[in-house]
Amino acid sequence: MKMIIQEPVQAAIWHCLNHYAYSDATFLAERLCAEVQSDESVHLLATCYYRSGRPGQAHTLLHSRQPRLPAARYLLALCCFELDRLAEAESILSGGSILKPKGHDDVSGEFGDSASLALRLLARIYIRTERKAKAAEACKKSLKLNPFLWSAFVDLCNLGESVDSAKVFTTAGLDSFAMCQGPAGGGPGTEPAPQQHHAPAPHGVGHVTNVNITSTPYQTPVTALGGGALPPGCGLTVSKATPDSEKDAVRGKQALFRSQLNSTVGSPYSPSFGFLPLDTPSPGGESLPLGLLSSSPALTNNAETHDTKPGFGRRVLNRKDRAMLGLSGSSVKENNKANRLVTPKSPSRKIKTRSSKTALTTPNFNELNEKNRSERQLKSEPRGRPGSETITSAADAKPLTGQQLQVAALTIQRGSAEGLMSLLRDVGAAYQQLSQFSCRRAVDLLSALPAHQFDTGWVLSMLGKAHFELNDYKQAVRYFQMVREREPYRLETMEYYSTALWHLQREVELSALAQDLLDHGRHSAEVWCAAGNCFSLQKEHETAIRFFTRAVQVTPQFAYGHTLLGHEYVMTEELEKALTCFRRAVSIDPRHYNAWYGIGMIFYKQERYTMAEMYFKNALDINPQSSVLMCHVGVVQHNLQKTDAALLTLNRAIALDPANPLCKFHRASVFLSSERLQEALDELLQLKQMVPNESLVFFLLGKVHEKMGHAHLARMHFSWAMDLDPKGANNQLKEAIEPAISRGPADDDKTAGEAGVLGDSSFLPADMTATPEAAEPFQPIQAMESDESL
Amino acid sequence: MITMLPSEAVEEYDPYKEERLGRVREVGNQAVWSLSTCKPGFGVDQLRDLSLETYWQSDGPQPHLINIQFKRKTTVQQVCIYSDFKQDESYTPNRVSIRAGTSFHDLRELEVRELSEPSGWLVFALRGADDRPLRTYHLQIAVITNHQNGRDTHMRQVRVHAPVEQRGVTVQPVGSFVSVECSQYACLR
Repeated sequence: MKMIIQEPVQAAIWHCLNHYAYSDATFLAERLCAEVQSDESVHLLATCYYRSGRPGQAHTLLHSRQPRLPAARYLLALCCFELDRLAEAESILSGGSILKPKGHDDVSGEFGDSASLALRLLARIYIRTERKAKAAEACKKSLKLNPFLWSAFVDLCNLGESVDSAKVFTTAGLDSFAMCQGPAGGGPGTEPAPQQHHAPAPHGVGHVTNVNITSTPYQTPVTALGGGALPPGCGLTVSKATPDSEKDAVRGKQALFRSQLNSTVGSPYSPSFGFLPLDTPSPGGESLPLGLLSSSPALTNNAETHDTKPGFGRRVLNRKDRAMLGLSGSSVKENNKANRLVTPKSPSRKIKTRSSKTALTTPNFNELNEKNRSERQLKSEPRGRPGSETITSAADAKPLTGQQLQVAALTIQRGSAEGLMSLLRDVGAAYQQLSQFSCRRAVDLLSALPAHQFDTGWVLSMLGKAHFELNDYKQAVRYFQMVREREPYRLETMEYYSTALWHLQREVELSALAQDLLDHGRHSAEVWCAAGNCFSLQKEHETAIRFFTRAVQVTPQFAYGHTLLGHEYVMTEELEKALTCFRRAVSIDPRHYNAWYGIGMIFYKQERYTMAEMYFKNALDINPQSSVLMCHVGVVQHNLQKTDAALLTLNRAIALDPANPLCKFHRASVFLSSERLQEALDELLQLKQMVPNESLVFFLLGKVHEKMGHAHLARMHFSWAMDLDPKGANNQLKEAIEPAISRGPADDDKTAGEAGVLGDSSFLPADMTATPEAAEPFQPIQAMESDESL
Repeated sequence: MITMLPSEAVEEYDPYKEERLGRVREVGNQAVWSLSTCKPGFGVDQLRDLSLETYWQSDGPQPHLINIQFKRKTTVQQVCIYSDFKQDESYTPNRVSIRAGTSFHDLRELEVRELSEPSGWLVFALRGADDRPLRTYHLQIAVITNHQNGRDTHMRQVRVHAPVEQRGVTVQPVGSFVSVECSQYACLR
């Protein structure tokens, strides 16, 4: 009877998975599972199901078999989370008995290397179930274990916590990189024996198996060398699918800069994580390859300019890590060794030793020794002969102890990650400011990023969003356009682009955007939001509501979709439905100030001004720099007869955002209704300079003059106001103007008594039988026929 | 007795254009429509489809009624009716009455209008008590008599318009801002 041997089969399955041949992988995994009933095979099959996009199947499988591998349990928790079975997911992650749930330390102990991700998932569960404090705690712990988890930082910011990115994004606190990159030699149930992937150097150049490859099942030989021997893309193959897929991000990044290294052979510097960005103030500022790949002689030339510090011990975890520089500069081959060094994190710390793996480690140790030797006397002349196994440096090689190796490996890893960490610190600081709505500060921080990072979709869209929150829609649109040029497939934050266009009333651009986005991603809530905005701008509110509903169905946890739907319901006067939508948005994201504003608007429309004020103030607390919100608060305060408070608020708004003409408009209105006519006049005259083509400014000027008794000026301004309103959008204009124009302010007898705009009673009943442009000649006739028809 | 309505002779009023421009909002979709009588195939759907070719034809005694019942009290600014004497001749309404109220039993007549060979859109602006905008649950359009004393009536299209609520807040009800520079700051979205 033939027995299926586990190892080669597993390797084959991983190979398929890494090439996204999910049906093959699943089939093989199912056969393997039938043969070998081990936790690993179950985990492998579940992984196949999950990656094929079938979390339900993965869940059923794992639930029935209950493997004890941490990674498998993590996968089960993830499936539960995606299937909205939050209680189950939580109990898996931090279960224990009801009376004694586990603390976060227990969780990290239990999940080993997957701990950071398990905590991250736990944080997401807490956020969904509205336990902010616990979520923040879990996020922080997760970041402490693994500072590469950007999404944990994002969640922390979105919860409203003020986090110091400098403290978060540092590898100084890490004892080992196992949490970030997976265990050396593969964790439980992850990868098969790597020995077959331990690629021998095909040519003398001396390939390096990618550093983290031991954690990846699929290992690609990556030439660490310059000479441009390797196509730039090769480095990217390193980031293969691994069981701990989040770690891909890490590997991907490291691979990325390796590839960039390769691709920039001969360039004076290689911009990438592995290097200090040129414009950051670092010694020499030139690229500091992180001991991984030094691809070009030019690099080594750079290295020459720096002191070389021998030895690991001197390596300090900061950007000014000369040792790394010197290390990389001195020899290509040494870099390879450095690569290899990182691989076995600590031989003594392996969770599961496999016999196959020791084969890997031993050569590494040898290389390690060689490396140490080379380290001792770092020479900076370029090594002309890449590839040979010889370390050019002389030997005061002493084989290091395991302990020292461990420390050495760790320091190298820390150094190599430092480039990324420094970038994350900068980016994180900017994001933190943005989440606290200190938008100008965020803009400054983002603009200070190095050019190649600045020019990416994410950074530009964050800039767009920052300007959006500042109500500077023109600038926001400019940034979003740049994003569209660079990354037309990018869907995140496109909803803000569409809203900015909505505010600017650019119909053509908005429909073009909606059309493009719909081509790319019909399964994405942002796309449907953009489509809804497009139709809303064209006043087709029913269609807009349909699209926003679709957005909400596609991603129920997308708060902005609910908010937009709410706003649309407000437009169609379905205020109860709107309220439900806003409340849902707020329950998803309590810091979504837009939804608080929406609730406030509903109360305002119902003339419940106290409640409106409360909700507007709520929104303002979250986003204190929004002049629009301040205007709303001010107006509502005036409606509540708190005129002084209103004026204070409006003054603050004007000081904060002088570009917002409405602050002055509202202040002028408040002056007008408080009979402070001269101040109103002054305000409006300034406003006239700011927005010379706004009909309502002239209308208000007319009202002021009318009240002051300047009939002629009033009529003049009213007629200007009408001229500026060719579409006749404001019927009230005509109602208020006609008496003034046709009869003069003193003549009241033909007017019906509706208390009008300012307590004046000079209104003609709106008679819409005429077209909006109908002027005086028809009035007498209409008066006549209304008598007749009775 | 028959009066010329100058409003009909004025430039063509296009309710669709008004809706598109955002000056008014069509709220017929928020209501339940019913007719006193109709010929099969010539009912509410033909009255509310966007085509002027199809029409409602009544099939019973006068007055012919169109009932529009809203789910909640709705502000109605005007009702637009399309009628064409050249096409409908004796089916063209002659005397039309608009009534409003909370239900069938307390409808109050708002306007009665005599039409004379209309061809085009007729706009009935509606006002509530004290000349405030009309807020109502039930709107009824009654055709009392037809041209040439026809029994049944044709009506080609009916649109019910509500005023557009302004988006932002203002101290006084001045309406909405005309320029983009101002209107973009009027509300958050």
